Formats: sequence, structure tokens, C-alpha cells
Amino acid sequence: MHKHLPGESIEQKIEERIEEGRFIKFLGKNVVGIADHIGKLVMLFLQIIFWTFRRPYDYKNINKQMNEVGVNSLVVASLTSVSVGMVLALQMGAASKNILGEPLYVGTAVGFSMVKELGPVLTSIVIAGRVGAAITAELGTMRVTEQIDALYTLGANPVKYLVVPRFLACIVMVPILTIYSNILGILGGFFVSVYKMAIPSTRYYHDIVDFMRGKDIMHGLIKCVVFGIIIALISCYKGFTTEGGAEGVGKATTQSVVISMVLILVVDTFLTNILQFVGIG
Amino acid sequence: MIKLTGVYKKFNSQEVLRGLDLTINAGETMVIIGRSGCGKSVTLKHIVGLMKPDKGSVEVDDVNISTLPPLELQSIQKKFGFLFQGAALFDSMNVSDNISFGLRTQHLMNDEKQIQERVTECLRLVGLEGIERTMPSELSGGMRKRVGLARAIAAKPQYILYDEPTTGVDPIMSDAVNDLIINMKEKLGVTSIVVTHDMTSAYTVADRIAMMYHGVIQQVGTPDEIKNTADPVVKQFVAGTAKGPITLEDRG
Repeated sequence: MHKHLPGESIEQKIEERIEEGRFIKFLGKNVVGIADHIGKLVMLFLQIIFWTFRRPYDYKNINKQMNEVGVNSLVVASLTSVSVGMVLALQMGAASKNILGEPLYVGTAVGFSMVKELGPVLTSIVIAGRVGAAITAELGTMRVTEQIDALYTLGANPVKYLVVPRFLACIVMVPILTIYSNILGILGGFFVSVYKMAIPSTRYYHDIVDFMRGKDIMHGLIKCVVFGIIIALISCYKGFTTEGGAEGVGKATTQSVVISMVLILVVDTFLTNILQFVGIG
Repeated sequence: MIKLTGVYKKFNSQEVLRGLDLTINAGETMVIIGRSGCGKSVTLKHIVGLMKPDKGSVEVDDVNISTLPPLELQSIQKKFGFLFQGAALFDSMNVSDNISFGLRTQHLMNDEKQIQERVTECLRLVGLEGIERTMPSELSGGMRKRVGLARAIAAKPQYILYDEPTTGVDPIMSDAVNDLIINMKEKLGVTSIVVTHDMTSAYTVADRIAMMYHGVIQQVGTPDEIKNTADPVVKQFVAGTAKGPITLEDRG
């Protein structure tokens, strides 16, 4: 409650109330807007599940998307993971040398970091940038040029025809690329350890296999399936809801990449907590 | 028969349709005229179920499509062929795949030879033989529109909706498009709804003309009735004069 304080004029009070009104309106609009997006995302997700299990399968299109998401991302995923593996080995080697006098547990640090965190997160972020942007731009252009409406009128459901192949490609290819990135990252670390820090190769090997359990690998794989879902869902949703011509496509693409990347990092935090809580990794 | 009753549609704060009533009888060609941005395309999209009204109903053959679940709506949508304003050809497919798309997704034809024959036939109808393997990006605006038309008629739909079929097409081709619309009606008994502001085309193809203004139908009548109307709004529009009850700022 506002009391009329001495020295406070009626105009000031009115001004304050207007400010409050504006603030509540601003807050309300945003809360409603976000709730609306979440609702539509859930609806899209349910539609994807429905159409995924409905025959016939469009193998040609699924294959094309798998190629696009998986095979065409190999180079960029390789470069990222090898570099990260090497840097990890260098840093861990230097740190343990400073503290303990010799490079210790380099394989363990590289292996665990890659398999549980950096493999899934970095691969997903690279794919969100490369594939997520392409999906939003393509679907967004189809939306603004009425091609998505045309699909409806020609008896094809756009979710079945456009989204399901991309969704399947993401949830299958992100984990496969992650496994590939993990291997390359560990190999990168291996080369630095063996040839730069003169760690015996058997020691690097045992540093990993003596400690790593099946559930550590599971931990990483569960994460990247979830990240794959995030990338497909956000990029398709943003593409489908694009409006406003070429400028709209640009905006939607940027938003799609930013939202996917931030969500991957935020969800990673929660997911790590949950997975550790239930005893997976 | 298509029947729109009291259809309201709002985009953000802009009310586009304000209680629109319109009935299109089976086998007739209805031309909808009106200023750009007055909601003609929106009306077409309501008829084919691409948009749902905020209030009111859209009935296709006595089925209210505004409340239908998606799968049932999809089976109704198969009755329609739709020529989009910008043709809306699929960029990733060549002309032949564009035209045969509906035939394949709706499993109307399974024999590849039969499909190719239908594609050639449709291309001949729009005067574009021999471009089956061309990609849409290599076509001119008018050609894209004609391929869009070929795609709309390929599955021999019961209803064909034309969104500005003669815009961006040269005058000779425009007359050919008019003939095509008339032929579709006479030979196949197709019901057509044509959105246009090309009055020559409207008078040529229409059984009835409906003028849209301020989100409702201002007047419906035969081409002669519209030509000799007493309604000042319709009179100004069909005569194409800048002076009258419709001002330049008033988008209708």
C-alpha cells in the first residue's frame, strides 16, 4: 500500500502507479508468451511421437537427413573433439606435473571429461550450430513461401513429412557422432600424452579402462539423446513458426541456434544431477 | 457445397474477417474480389482448413471443418486443389516431382508410367510441355504460377481454389488460364473459387462474384449484377477509380 508521504505530490504517485502497471503488463506478457511457446513445443513433440510410429516410413527422406546430420558433420566434429582432447591432455599434464612432479592420470581426466561431458555437450553444440540453423532456415523459408501450407493441401502432413525425418536423424546421429567424438578426443589426448609428455601408452590406456565403467558411458549417451531431441524440437518449432519474410527467417535461425545452445548447457546441469542421483555415472 | 457462416478472424489486434457469410454452390465458379489485404486469401485458407476461425463455422459438404480433428481434416483437404499466390512450389524437387507430389502422397496412382502421363497432361494444359526436369528456381514468376496450377489440378480435385491466378502472368497466358478455369468446370464439374483483382478475368470466369470489404461480403451477384451495381463501394472498385467511398488508406 502506498501512503501519501509528505513531500510526495499526487503527480509522482500517479507516475509510480503507471510504472507499476507497465511493469505488471510487461511481466504478464512475457510469462504468457513463454507459457504459450512451451505449450506449443509440447504439442509439437506429441505430434512427432504420433507420426513417428505411423506407417509408411519415408526411408529416402530419413536417409537423406541422416546423411545431412551425421555424415556431413564428421569433419567439424572431428576437428572439435581432437582439439579438445589434446588441450585436455596438455592442461591435465601440466597441472599434475606442477602439483605432483610428474604428469599423472592424464588418460583418466581426458577419458572421463570426454565421455561424460565434453563429448556430448560439444558435439551437440556443434550440431546445433550446423544442423539446427540449416533446419530452421529451410523450414522457415518453406513457411514464409507457403510451401508448408501447400503440403497440407496436397495431403501430406508437414510434421510427418518434414519434422519426423529430421527428428529421427538427430536422435540417432547425435549419439553416434558423440561416440565418434569421444574416440577421437581420447586419441588426441593419447598423442599428446605419449609424444609430448612421454607417458607410456599402456599407462594412458590403463588410466582409462581401469576406472571407466559401463554406466559412465551410458551417462554420456543418455545426455546426447536428450540434446538431440532439443536440437530437433527447437529448430523445427522455430522454422514452423517463422513469419515475416527473409528477415523473419534470419531472426528465427539466430534464435533457434541460441536457444538450442543455451538449453543444452542448462539441461546438462540438471541432467547430470539427476543421472548422478539415480546412480548412472 | 461450401458454406461460411459468421466467420471472425483476428491477427494480433487486426480484425480481418468480421462475421463473413458466403455460400458457394456445387459446380459454380465463385470469384472473390476486393482490395489487397482485405482478407481474400485468409478466406481461402479458412475454406481449405489451413486456418481456423475465431468464431463462426466453415462447412464443406455439410461437414463443419473448423472443429475437425487433424486426421479427418486431412481427408477433407484431399478434395481441394490450391493454387497459392506465390505458387509455393517445393524448391527441393523438380517440376515433375512437384506436380506428382499429391498423386503419390494420396496414393491415387501407383504406376510410375501413369504418373508421368498425368504430369505431362497437366503441363500441356498449362502450356508448359517439356520442362519436367527443370527446378523451380530456374523458372520465371509466370511459369512458376502455371506449374503451381498444374500441381493443383493433378489429383483431379472436387474443389479448386485459385489465389490470384492471373497476377504476374502475361495477358495471353492470362486468357489461357481463364479458359482453363472454365474448362475445369465444364469438363470435370469442378467447383472453383477464384480470388483476384483482375476484373477482366473475374467477368470471364465467374458464375457469381462476391466483393469483400471490411471483413464481410459487401455484395454477391452475377457478373452483370456486379457490373450494373448501385452499391457505391462495389461500383468504385469495379470501375477502378481512386475517388469514392473507398479511400486509398482504407484497405477494406
